Amino acid sequence: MAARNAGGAARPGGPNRTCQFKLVLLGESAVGKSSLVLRFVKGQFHEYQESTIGAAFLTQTVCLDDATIKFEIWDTAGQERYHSLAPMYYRGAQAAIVVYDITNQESFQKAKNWVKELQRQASPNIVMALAGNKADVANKRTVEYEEANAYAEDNALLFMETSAKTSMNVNDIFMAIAKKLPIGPAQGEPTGTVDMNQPQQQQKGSCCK
Amino acid sequence: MDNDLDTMVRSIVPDKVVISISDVAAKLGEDSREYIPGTLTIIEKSTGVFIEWKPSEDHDASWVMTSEDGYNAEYVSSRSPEQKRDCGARVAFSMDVNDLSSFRIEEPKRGSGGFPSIRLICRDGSSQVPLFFRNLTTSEFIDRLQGYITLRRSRQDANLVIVVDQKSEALAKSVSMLDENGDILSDQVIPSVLNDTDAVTQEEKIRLMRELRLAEEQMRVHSDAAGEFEVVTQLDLPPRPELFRELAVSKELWNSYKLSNGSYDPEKLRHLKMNVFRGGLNAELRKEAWKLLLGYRQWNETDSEFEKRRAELAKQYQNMKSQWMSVTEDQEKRFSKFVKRKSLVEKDVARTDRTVPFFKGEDNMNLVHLHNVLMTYVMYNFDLGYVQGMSDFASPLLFVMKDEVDTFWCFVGLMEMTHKNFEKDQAFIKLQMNQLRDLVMIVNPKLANYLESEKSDDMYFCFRWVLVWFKREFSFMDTCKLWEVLWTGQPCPRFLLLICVAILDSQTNIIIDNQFGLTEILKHINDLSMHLKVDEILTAAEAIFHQLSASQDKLPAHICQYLNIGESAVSSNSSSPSRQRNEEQEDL
Repeated sequence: MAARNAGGAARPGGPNRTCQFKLVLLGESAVGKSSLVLRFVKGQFHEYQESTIGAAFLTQTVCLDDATIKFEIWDTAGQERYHSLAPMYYRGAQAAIVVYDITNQESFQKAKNWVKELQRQASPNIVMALAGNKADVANKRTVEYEEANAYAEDNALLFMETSAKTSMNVNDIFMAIAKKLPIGPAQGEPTGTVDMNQPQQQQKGSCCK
Repeated sequence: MDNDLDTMVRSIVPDKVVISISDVAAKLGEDSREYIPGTLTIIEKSTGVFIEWKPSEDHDASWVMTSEDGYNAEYVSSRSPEQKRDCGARVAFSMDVNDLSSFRIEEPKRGSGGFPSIRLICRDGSSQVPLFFRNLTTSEFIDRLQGYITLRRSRQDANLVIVVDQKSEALAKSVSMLDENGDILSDQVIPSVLNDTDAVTQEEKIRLMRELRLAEEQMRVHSDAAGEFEVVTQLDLPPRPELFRELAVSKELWNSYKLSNGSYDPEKLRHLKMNVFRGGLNAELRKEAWKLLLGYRQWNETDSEFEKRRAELAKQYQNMKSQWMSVTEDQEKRFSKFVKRKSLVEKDVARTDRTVPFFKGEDNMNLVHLHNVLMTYVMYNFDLGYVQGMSDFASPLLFVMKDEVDTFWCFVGLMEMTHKNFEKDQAFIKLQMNQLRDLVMIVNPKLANYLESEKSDDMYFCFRWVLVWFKREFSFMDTCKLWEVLWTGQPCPRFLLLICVAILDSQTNIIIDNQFGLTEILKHINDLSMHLKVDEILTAAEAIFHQLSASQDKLPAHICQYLNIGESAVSSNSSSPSRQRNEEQEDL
């Protein structure tokens, strides 16, 4: 009875291309993977964020000039014991954030291992970022910015130091990834991009703030 | 700059509030009595139409707490205004109506004094908190919603309302018409259905959709029978019996099983365990009873025997504790395996159950005790070490025992039951996932087939349930209740898996009607956390057990084997085949 158009709610403005990408967070336990996601998706921070068991899944949408990017974020458990589950989560991922804790040298070594593993096993075109988290406690730093930056340059990774607590660089690192993702036109299909505006895909309305 | 443009557009087209309903309260968790007052709105914005819920500004005024049994009273009264604000902000949401996939609507029982509630389910599988309409009606909200989207009640579940994707339904319908009429009609049928004209009335449409669904379902059943699940789909389980939870075991009842020397009558042990299985324990009994259920104290041990052994075990504990405590910093430099374990324990203790008052705050001594218990376990079982998830198992034990030595030896007992979950190869987890899949296939083949079609039949979305025995799914107190039921070993081994089956079974319509894929299923299952009713789930799982054991002669042998029912059971028990409620045969 109510008037409506078939696609759903009406919106002014032309259709904005919406692309969906799978992003996975990897890194040693307690470096702040879940906290980064929680900050990015809900703008919150919990000092005693509980450990992740298995994996958590969240989504967040960001706007670029010419496209809307919907991130499907897989947040994984960090402990070595659950390493064997990781391929299940990074399989098919178009982006990854490898996280370490700037106050923990060992977590940086672990991050390098993750990068190596992704270079070997993940999709060849995966966009990788390295996040040195807990930048708010830089006075306890054991991993120098320059060291990590040099490593990231050598491996063609995006790199930022972040703080889920203060939200420093959190949106930025996701935005930087979004900008590097291939939002090419549909000709050819270089990536696993799902163009949500295609028929039969659910039409996506929301845009970032 | 993109943001600037966005702001500009927004300022040109002002947001329009279509409806705003105050007095809509969000419920924090299933066992919580906390309802956060707030306002539900539907807003037309330049970027789309949004459903929003926000907590009301004035927190103190109407922060509601009902106290049906009141055991959470301390949690609530301890919340400061900041915490309330924080809780409210945490559950506030704003969602595009296009992201709405379905919602569950619950009407209170007549005369119960409750409020109708709605829980919105998103296309990505996530769910919002349940919203309670304190003005007693959801209809104005639903009416407004229907101005933007088409809604239909699920055929299988009257409480589930599904957003109908008009385009795809119309397309599906026209395709099915093509099948019936050949392709001659295609030109007429498709446009008339797609254009939403009056030519096809709403009722006609709904009737056609129903027929389409029916036809689909028949087809599915048909192909099942032809496929590899033949055996399973032919297995008709008897109707699920209606069961109820009994009262928690009281101190008086418990003591009636005790002999004068403090040991327990071996003849009546099964009976006592069944009582615990059916009702759990009164909280005051846990300290005593858990020691027995976890094998720290033997059932046939007298008070004096146990006290003697307990003193010995206390010494052993102190001994192992001093081992790790005496490791110096200098030693640690050459003791990397130890350091690794220690750091894992420290990281997890700091973030285990910190919202529970018992572990709240800085410098909480209970955190030190938890740390000590886990570090001492590292020395007790250095090869296994510390694995994430263990702190989840240890924390309720400490909460109940309030003593390091008792907690430690109870934890050792609990690890006896669960340590295989933490082995490096994860083989035991995989085994349980396979068994779970088999059980779902028998109890709910429709769901099993759906999961398979969505490539989700590895069941890994249940990983967390199985790894830490639902610790993350229920409140602290409900977890205690669930665990003591499981520790009885009644009515069968692997009852945990039947609980998984019961929950999945209850989610069948939501998963299938929303057409959830792998990620949505995972998200939906994760989001069930704190919104499950422990008593309902336990009775459902028990009922499923009765269904299975009544069909034991038709069940595949391997299933009888790991549920220990029927003739192929490993147990040497030869019990009569009749399976009444009170006749349990397994002995564990």
